[in-house]
Amino acid sequence: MSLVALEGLTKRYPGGVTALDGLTLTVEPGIVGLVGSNGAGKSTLIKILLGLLDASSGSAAVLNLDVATQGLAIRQLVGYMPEHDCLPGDISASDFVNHMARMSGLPSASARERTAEVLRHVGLFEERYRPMGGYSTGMKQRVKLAQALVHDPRLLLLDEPTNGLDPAGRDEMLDLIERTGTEFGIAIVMASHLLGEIERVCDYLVAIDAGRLLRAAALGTFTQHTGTLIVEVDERPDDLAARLQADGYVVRVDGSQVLVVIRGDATYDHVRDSVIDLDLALLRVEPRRASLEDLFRDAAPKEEAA
Amino acid sequence: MTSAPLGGRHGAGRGGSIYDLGYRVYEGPRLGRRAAVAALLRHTLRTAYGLGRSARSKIMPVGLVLLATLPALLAVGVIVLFAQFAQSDAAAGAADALSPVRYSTIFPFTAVLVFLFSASQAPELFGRDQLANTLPLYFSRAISRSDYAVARMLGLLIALLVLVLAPQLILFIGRVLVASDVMTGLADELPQVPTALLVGFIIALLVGSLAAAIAALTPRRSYATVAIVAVFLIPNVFAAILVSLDIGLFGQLAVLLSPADVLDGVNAFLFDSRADNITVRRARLEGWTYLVAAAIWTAASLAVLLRRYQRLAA
Amino acid sequence: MTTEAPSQAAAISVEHVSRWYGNVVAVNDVSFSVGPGVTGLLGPNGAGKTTLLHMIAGLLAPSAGEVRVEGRPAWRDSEMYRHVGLVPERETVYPFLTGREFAIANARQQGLADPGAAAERAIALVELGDAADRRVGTYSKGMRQRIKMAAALVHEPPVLILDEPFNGMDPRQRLHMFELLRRMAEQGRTVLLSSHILEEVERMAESVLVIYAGRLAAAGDFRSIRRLMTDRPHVFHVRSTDDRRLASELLRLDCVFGVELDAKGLTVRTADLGQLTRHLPRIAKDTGISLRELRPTDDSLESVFAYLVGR
Repeated sequence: MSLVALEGLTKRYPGGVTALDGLTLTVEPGIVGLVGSNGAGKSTLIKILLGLLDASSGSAAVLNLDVATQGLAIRQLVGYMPEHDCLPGDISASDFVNHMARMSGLPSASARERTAEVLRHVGLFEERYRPMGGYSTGMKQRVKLAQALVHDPRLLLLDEPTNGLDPAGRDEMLDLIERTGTEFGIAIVMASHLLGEIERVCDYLVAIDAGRLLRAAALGTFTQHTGTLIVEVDERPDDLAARLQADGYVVRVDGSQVLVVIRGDATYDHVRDSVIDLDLALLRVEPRRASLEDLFRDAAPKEEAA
Repeated sequence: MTSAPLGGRHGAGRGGSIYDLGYRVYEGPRLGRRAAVAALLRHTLRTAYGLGRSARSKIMPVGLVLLATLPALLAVGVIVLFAQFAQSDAAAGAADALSPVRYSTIFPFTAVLVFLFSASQAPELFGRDQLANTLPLYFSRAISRSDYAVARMLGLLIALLVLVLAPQLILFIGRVLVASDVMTGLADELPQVPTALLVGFIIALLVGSLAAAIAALTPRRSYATVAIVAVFLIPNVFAAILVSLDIGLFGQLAVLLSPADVLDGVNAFLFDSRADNITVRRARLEGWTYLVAAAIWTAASLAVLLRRYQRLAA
Repeated sequence: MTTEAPSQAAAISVEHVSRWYGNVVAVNDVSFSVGPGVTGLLGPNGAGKTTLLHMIAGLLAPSAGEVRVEGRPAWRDSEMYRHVGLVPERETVYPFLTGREFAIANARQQGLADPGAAAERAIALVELGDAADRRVGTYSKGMRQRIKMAAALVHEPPVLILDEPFNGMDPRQRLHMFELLRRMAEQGRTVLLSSHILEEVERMAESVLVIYAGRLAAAGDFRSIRRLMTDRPHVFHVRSTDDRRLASELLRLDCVFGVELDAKGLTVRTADLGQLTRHLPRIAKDTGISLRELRPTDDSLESVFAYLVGR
């Protein structure tokens, strides 16, 4: 069963801005990264999937349910973590998440239990009884995630989940998301501007550019080996490069890195031995991978939508 | 949850168990829209009276209810005193007849308190979620936008009903208890009850829906409160002026543009009593026109309210 | 970039600066100087970064100490604003102005001779030419960041201060901004930027300043900082054609005190980076093992930062 299936999905805002333009793709369950450039495509897409916004044309299905006619059924199964601030300041996380659980149709006792469990999973302990107005950004992000998880959804939609978090907070949130997708077994669609995060947590990528599909594929296909080996030594990289070149390898020097085109398994030993012969220390041997960035670097920039 | 008893004596309980504290899938019941709406209604009622919040948020609503019951309490107190000292039913009856506090006058006495309650609480119920941007969290759940608006509206309605009917209830109980015997008391008072309930309902509905519409349109608390107070205090001034200018039908109809006067008119009409409100007396409109006006005010407000939530960007 | 007493007219010089609000000390006796190039300002939320940046931009007075920009005191010197461009974190743009109007307004405020032309140049730099005539209220978050940057660049200041500038920008815009900042640094400008996205700072900044609890925890090139952390052993990941054998050979080295073996390869902990990196290839050759992958796992700015901030 597909997670999300789009067919020619288009959204035009009054004023002429086209946020989504004929988007067609199918996504299998897993942890999916959603990246958008040149426009508001990703937020618009999430809102359409949730039934918060109507499409101009085309169709979309979530968990095999049609967004236009079965919106209510979809929202039973989906949890949403918005990008913006959305928590009232004068009630506690515990009361709020409990209320949200009731709003998702959980009976009173179950709501209370699930709330306590879910707040523990996201890492909120005694602070859950204090009003949320005094929470740090990290704590607020956790509450947002908790309310999305409390009714045990089949699919989580996360919009920029690490927004505003410092490095430690980002790390913890990404770990939590990873655990949620793998251990908890919940499908996730995570929208982010940070390719590093997506590379770390997701197994599938959907990239939208100016409302059109740029690419949709498993992450592995983007970050494949380029056939180049990165070698770093403690000094004199040019000497190493010259030596390897003399031995018939295609070599390039980039700053402190020596990039060698791999010619079979023998390349590794050849590099190793050259390093020893030149009395150098070996700091790094790493096959160079393409990164998600290359995807965006290559495509041409377009007129931006708001 | 172990089946074998722990402890060494029985020999069998030497081992240990680890229970999985990992994430648990929820397999319990998922009640539908109805339950969610009911939960929101309950939540709205609690918020309207500041329950589950800081003490500060209780001051206005609870204070206003207490104030509203004062006239009724006083009236009952007076009647009781007379009954004690006069030692005769006739005296008590006379005291009762002289008392300005009756079912038909409770509303005019407490009107301002009702308006203040709506001005104070409607922004809490309709503005706060907009300001804090919490609406997407509601709308992304299995309720519709109108479900949300209706649940909130019902909550405000019930909250206002409590405020409007509490004094009536006190008056009723007081008078029944003070009567020569309970059965006669009930027989005397019961006929008024349906009217009181109906008037109370109309008041709560009109005030609630108008306040809700304003609060939904202006989420900023201070603006909403001022606007709600204004709508119940300012048109009266113009209506009074226009009516006293005696310019014919136009002047009379001006009364209907003032919600407070409309409610006075409804109150007077349904209780079949003389309105204390000068503007209403001067306007000399047929009683049913007030009912129609009340209906239009309410319908328009509800329409605005629903439309607002349909069109809000989530 | 040094941490001792600054030489004459360093672009930014901060000397024993503190800032407190009542009993709360936001910045506590911080001293450093910043020169041309890109410098990253890092720290957990609430560590005092924004306070520090506002003092450097002349918007806030230090409670103690001196902040100087290009030799002039930062506080109460109106001339100073011509030398500094600030891109603050908060929203500071009026939604009813168009992008162009906003840029021109800033240019006028700077007293430029030709505000229109300056605004055009700045808008072109941030690539907002197509949207410059739309009202800022209709901009996406990334576009608002860019127009803020254009406004900070109209007067071509030698010092540019940015507080979380890439917030809301999509990958392509970020790449573009990196290049812009790098180019400006190459022109000799001083760019001080605060960000939580360490993998980006790592690529852009030659040196970093780490603030923690209002104090300066470290300054300089982060790789050098890493090397200074001698109490933290270096951690390497190694993948070879015979991991188990390699592991036992490595354990013979004095400098190696921990080797972990798992499906992905070896994790080697060493007290002496130099020794290990010399010996490893030789050991591999002597035992006929081929090295397929070797990389430090705690050499990144993220690791260095985590060590400094003591997680």
